[in-house]
Amino acid sequence: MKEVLTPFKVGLVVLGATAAFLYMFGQVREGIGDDPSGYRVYSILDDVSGLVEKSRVVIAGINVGQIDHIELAGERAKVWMRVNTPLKTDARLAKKQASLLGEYYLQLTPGAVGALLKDGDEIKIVVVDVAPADLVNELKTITENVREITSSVRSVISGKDGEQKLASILDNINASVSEINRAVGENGPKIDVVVDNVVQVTGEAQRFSHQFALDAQTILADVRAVTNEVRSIVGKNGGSVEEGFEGVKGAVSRLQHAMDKLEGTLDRTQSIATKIDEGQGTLGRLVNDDKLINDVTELVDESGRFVKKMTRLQTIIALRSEYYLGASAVKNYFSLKLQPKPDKYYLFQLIDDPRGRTTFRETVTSTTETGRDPLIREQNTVTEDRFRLSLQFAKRFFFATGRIGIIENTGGLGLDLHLLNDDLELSADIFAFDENINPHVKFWGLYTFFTHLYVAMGIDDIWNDQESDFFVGAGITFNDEDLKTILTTAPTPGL
Amino acid sequence: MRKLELAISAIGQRVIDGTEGLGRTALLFGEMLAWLPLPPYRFRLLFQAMEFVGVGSLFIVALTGLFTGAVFALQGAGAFRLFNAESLVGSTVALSLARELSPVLTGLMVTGRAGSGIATELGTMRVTEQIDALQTMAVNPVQYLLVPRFIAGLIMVPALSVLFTLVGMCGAYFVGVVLLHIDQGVFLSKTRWFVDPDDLTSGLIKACVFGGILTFIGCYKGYYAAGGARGVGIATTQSVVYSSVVILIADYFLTLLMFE
Repeated sequence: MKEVLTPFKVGLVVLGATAAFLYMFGQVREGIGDDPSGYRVYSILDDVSGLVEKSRVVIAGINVGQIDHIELAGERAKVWMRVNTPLKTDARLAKKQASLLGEYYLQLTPGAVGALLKDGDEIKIVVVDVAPADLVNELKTITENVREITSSVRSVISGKDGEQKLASILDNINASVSEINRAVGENGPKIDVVVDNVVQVTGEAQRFSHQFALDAQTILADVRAVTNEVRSIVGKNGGSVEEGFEGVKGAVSRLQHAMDKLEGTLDRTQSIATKIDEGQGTLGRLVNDDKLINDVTELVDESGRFVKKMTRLQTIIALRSEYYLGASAVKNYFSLKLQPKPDKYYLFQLIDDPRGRTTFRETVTSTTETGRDPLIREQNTVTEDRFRLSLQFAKRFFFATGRIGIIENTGGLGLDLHLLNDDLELSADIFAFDENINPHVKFWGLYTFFTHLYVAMGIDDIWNDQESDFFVGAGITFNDEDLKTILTTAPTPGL
Repeated sequence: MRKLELAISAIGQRVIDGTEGLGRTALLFGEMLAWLPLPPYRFRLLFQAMEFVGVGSLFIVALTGLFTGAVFALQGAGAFRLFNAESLVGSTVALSLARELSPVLTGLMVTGRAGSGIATELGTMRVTEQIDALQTMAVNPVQYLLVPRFIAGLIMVPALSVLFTLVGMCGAYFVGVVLLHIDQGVFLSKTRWFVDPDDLTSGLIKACVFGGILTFIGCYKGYYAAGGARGVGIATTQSVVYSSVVILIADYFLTLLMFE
């Protein structure tokens, strides 16, 4: 074992390491720009600080390549990059800063016109972006300007003249504010009255406009209805208003007639309702007689229970044949199983057994004839009853079902064990106790391999050596649903 | 004057001993290389050595890798957070593991576990004259004892190093993505972007070299152990110390060679 285990363990480690290496290798290869469809282009930049080999080349934020190589071209930098997307001659390139850490990348715009760039071509348009360093320089200039302005202001307001000017301005402002305060104080009550009046007038105007809007809506609705009526009348009568009025007159007449009929109907309805209320007639008794109602309710309940029982009853029909190896004969069963509950059923079987039922008979004859034995004992084995009947009651407990009743024309008992989700059934029968030979004992197993098909094998009449025989068999079962299907789809002879 | 003579004599003796040791090392290494391709091929011994070096060290290497990756991610995230660049944690850990940490730490861990074991085993065989017995039976001890261990180191240490990298990345992923909530997509894409196949292969080559170093030094120290049990102990200690130092020095020169 050790001999085998050592190479196995070593092999596992080596295999694991190889798999890990290949996995990681495959993962990191995705990161490099070695796409076979990629090609190299270059561009000349003034400043490549921050760009390094393998820096990203992106279009709209999506990586399409990377910088392959950077070299000096005179006073400028020649940047070779490998990209995997088509570029045209008007493609543009810009150096961008990814973060304040100083990470840079190249941003491409693929271009729209011109020929496609080939391997080794140049991207000629380079957009110089405003770098943070340039921004800092701009800020520096702005700061200097601000500083100049503040120094000018300082020079204006600093010194004695400046202070006097500022004091004078403040005095003027104070005087103006005081004047406004005084004017408001003197005319305060008048202003209040004016304001009140304005408020009152606007309130009135608001109420009026609201009421007017409601009235206008009502008027408009009325006008619209009238217009519709007129249009309807005119339309019905081909445009003649007079004919329209005639039509209205006729309609009113018909309405009067209908009202008369309705009145008569209501009178008769009232008469019927009075009779029902007084308990007259069938409906009246039904409504007023409590006993009758109770009887009807009970009848309906009973009917419901009966129907429920009938619908719950399962009917299973089975056909089975068993081939007896020793006797070379076939035994056939026709079974009808009535199952009112899942754990209870009644089994009715018709059995055709070519072997018949064997009984043992002994005849004892006494004689006084000379030359013969005084007592003659004659033994006969009789085989009869080829056709037999079984009628059993069965009850299931968990995985076992017990059966009792008539088995093959005699009293008997049976036991079934249900295994493998009821697909396998092991059974035993014992019957024919009243014979002169040992009781008939039969063991067999059934295996349902398809929904309605099963195979069987077992040994029959094991207790009687001469009669015992092995058998194999097969059968088919039909349940309610199958029978319904068969009966409804089977062709019916024409009448 | 006498003291001066003694001092010069001692220094000279050291030089002679050192040179002799170097020469013996070179000779043993040459002899081992010479026996390497020659039959008989003892696969059973090779597998046993591979099991001892590789399978036996698997757990400790994986454990070290897991926590190395996790700690590196934790520390890296703390530092990168200062610059709001936590997305670089994955790539940093992956690069460090693939290029340096995996081969070096795997080499050191295997040295501690297997290199010392090799030195002890061979040293014990030497002082109990089992190696002499092999020679008496016309079995070349270099081919019988050293070659399988050396090959096992060459094969198994790179394998362990690869597993170290993978497990370390799992640890870094757990800390970075699960615990510190770094964006998973950014973590993985940056890792893929920054790590090259070259980084993995360079780590593999380093691990191969370290495997050879640690097994050879273990073999050498054990093979020439002398002085009974104490000598075996000294040989074991020296093998671990020398292997660790040589691995670190070799790492510097290999890095110089590969990345400069």
